[in-house]
Amino acid sequence: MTEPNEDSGRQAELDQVRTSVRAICNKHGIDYWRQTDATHAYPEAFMDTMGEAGYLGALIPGAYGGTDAGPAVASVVVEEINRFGGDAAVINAQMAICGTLTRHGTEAQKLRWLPGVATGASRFLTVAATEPDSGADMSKLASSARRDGDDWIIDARKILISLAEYTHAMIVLVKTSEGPTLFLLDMDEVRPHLEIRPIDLISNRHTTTLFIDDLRVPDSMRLGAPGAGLRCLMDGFPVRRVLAAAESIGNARFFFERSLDHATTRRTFGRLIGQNQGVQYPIASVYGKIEAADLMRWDAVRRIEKGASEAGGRSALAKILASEAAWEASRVALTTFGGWGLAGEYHVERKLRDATVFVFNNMLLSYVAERMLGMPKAF
Amino acid sequence: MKVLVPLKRVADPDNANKVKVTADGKKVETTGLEWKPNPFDEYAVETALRLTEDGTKPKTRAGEVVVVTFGPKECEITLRAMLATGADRAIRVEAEDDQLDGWLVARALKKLVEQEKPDLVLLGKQAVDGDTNQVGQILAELLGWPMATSAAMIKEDGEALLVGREVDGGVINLKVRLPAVVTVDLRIVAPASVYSKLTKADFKYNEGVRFAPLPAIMQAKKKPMAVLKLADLATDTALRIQYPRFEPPKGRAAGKKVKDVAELVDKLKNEAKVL
Ligand SMILES: Cc1cc2nc3c(=O)[nH]c(=O)nc-3n(C[C@H](O)[C@H](O)[C@H](O)COP(=O)(O)OP(=O)(O)OC[C@H]3O[C@@H](n4cnc5c(N)ncnc54)[C@H](O)[C@@H]3O)c2cc1C
Repeated sequence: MTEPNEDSGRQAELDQVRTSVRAICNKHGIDYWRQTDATHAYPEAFMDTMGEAGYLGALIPGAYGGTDAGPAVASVVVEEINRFGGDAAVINAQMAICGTLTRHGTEAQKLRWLPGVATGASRFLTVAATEPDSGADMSKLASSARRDGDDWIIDARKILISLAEYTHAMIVLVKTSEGPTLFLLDMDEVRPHLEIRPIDLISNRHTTTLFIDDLRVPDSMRLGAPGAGLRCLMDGFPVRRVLAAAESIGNARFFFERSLDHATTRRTFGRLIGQNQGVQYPIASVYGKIEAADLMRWDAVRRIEKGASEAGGRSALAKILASEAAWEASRVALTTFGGWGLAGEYHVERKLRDATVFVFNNMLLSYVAERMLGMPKAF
Repeated sequence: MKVLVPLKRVADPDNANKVKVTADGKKVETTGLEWKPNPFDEYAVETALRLTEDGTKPKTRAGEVVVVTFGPKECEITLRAMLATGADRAIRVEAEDDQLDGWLVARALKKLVEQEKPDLVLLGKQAVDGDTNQVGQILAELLGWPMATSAAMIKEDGEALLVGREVDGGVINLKVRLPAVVTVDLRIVAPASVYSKLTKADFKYNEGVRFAPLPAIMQAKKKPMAVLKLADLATDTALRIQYPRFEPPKGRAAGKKVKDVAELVDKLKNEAKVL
């Protein structure tokens, strides 16, 4: 894969990351992911290898034990895992969610968590924001924290929360008298006050409902200023969108590469199925869409690196284009594989389920309409 | 121990069908090819790393591993990849692919060996593009050094190496005095193939070449990369090997389906004439 217009030093680095991540994926094999999916398991062995290989701290500054490799590298990591047929959800979370802490945490909070997150000794996988009643509308929170002396008392009801059963550190968004506010909870300390119930979902995302009752926490667990909760979360969105785009491009390339291979080897009616226009044209068409989404992804990466203000909009477009390309590519794979596309052993059906997680784009479309096009606010 | 590993990039062997010949048949078309390090050269780098470490502490190098390649600027990507897996520094000798042949590369390497003074030159047994299987042998001859080719096992033994070479029907064990030239085969990257004097005899490596961890990839950018001119290493740069014409191999005819074993035996006997 050649990233557009990269200088050779940077290209070399990204190539090596691809080679290195592929080697790690090959070590575990594609059936590893079929197995974790089938048993709803946490990909512990894979995460251990990624930790040993120094990938978990890709976005963490050197002063806190990370490699500070930046969003380009992190995006290549998640892309390659999905392209291989794995599921990058957990490593994506571990690399990116701590960004809020890096940007807004106190020195003590950073020293408490970041070095362990970089090695994998501490898992930092979860932000609990979504609520049963407000859903996507994070400004109408029912969950709350109220001051009690120097402490806070938290009550929260959260839904669709990923990886809460596995994480050691969790950010939770609640309202206070000052407005939406973040707390950074140490799960080992607070777990007795939590009630976590799995939600059975289409793919292996470890989603849960999460209830917190009357949890007393010291003010040192507050993350960022009171009332600044949404802003603290949102300034990490461009990177998170680029990683979601890169995950989708990886998914899309998985479907595309498998389809191309199958179309050019499988024969029925005395000819390659890829000779039939009904199989061939969708493959050619989705190839173009994947490449286009990838160009937007690299454009967004560069704008983030430059700190350009358009990074928000371009990263939103990259996520929208990439998730749609992956969705279309999954359909192309079904057309190409026919019945085998639904059989576990070809991995298409599993990746198809993984790819569905990225197709909700209304919030982003509303962001594009409002921020980039000046249209009236939808959300 | 100081080890010099010459290596070459080759067109991705997994995509050999992408290799095209120019219309006049004079050259292999190189634009648009994906390049990979020659697999046997990667094994040589892995071998060099194993020989300069205690297997339990792969981050600490006992000695030095220097990688060298001949080629245009893009080849630095291949060298950087080797720096990321653990080599200490790299040398690129500026040259175009079609200005080189095995004889010229071996003579230039001889000059480089005189400058670098390694204890060991480790090479892949051959490059999977030209498959000429020459450079190591010519270099050993030019240097007047002991040589072992197609090594499947290497153990450091004082000032010498014990080298196992797999041949038809068994293994030939050699003891080569250092400095020496050794070329390596596929099995050299098996878990128990290479032992430095620091690595304990019961230690097992992971199968294959190691992958670069992210911190090493980031640090590889800062490792030294020297660029030399071919003319500084070889005065006579005329090629001995001329390639008058390239042709892609003929496409294979489609296979045939047989009804039963009797027909198969009949075809093997009377058409293929292998029985
Ligand atoms: C796999 C998975 C993992 C998740 N993990 C987490 C997690 O770890 N932490 C967390 O906090 N949340 C998580 N979520 C929740 C996710 O962020 C929410 O699904 C999302 O915010 C939408 O909330 P909702 O599902 O209640 O939909 P609703 O808010 O009920 O919306 C339903 C639909 O209507 C659309 N819609 C609503 N209002 C408008 C409008 N004004 N204009 C146009 N369209 C509108 C929405 O886009 C959506 O398509 C996860 C979700 C999934 C699927």
